[in-house]
Amino acid sequence: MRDHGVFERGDLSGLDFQTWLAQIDDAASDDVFVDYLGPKHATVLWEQSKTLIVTFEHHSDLSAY
Amino acid sequence: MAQEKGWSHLCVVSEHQDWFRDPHVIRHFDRLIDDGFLDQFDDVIFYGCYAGGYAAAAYSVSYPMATVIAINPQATLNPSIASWDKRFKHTRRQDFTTRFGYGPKMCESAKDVFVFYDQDSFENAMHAALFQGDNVTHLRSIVKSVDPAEFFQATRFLPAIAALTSDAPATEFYKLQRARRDMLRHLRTLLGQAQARPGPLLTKLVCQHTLRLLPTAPKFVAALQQVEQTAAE
Repeated sequence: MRDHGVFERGDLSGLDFQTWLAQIDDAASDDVFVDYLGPKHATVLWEQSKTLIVTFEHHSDLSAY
Repeated sequence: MAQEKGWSHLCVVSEHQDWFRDPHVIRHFDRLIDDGFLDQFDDVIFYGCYAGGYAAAAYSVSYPMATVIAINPQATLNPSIASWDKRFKHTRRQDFTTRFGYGPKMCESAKDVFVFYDQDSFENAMHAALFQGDNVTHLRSIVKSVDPAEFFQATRFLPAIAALTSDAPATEFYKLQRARRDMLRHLRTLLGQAQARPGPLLTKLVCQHTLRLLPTAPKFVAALQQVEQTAAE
């Protein structure tokens, strides 16, 4: 799900996984939380309302945008 | 999409294409269950394509009465069940039998499970068929040449998800798909198929239809000119 509304301040395309996550962690607003799940996985949580969508993505698909 | 809808969004992301069977991911969902994190939400939608579709189904067990939207999901890559799927040789070694293992079983407690699949792929159709139950709705892709995942992206997700969460999800979803027959990629494929057939009529109809939507589409302008020129000679 290519949804980067809260991360529009920087270009995140083409970054490797760890750098990409670090950039999100730095750039994200206060209501966005990055959780590292070992070296190869992570979650990015953005809490806004009582409806939650849980999506499963690959970094290569996300970082191309 | 979540932002436009005003929804919360939990994105589980992997470095490479995998099926989210990593012990860290499994432990994370166990923790979400134990902490009651998901219970604070009124509605939870699990969404994913391909391997992500498998994960959406498998991890949906962590929120009973969830909605699952799985696009071309693998039900499992356990060779004892899916020996006919030879596509992912390395992944087949992963364990699909333990915690959160078998996708169709894990979404039995979901409110709705929408399995959107591409029937032109034998493997995708077989995996889709493994999802059974009163809560499962199978949705075939009726727009040939347009990848189901691409269809969701092209609709910017919102209309598709709105259709699936309406009172008549299957009807609304097929209506939406029919509208996507105007996608340029689909029309290009259609043009190629028309040109491969004998006679100019189909090519002319495809071009006229497309040029009504996109009056300057170069490929269709050229094809129509060629058809008209041939007819005049």
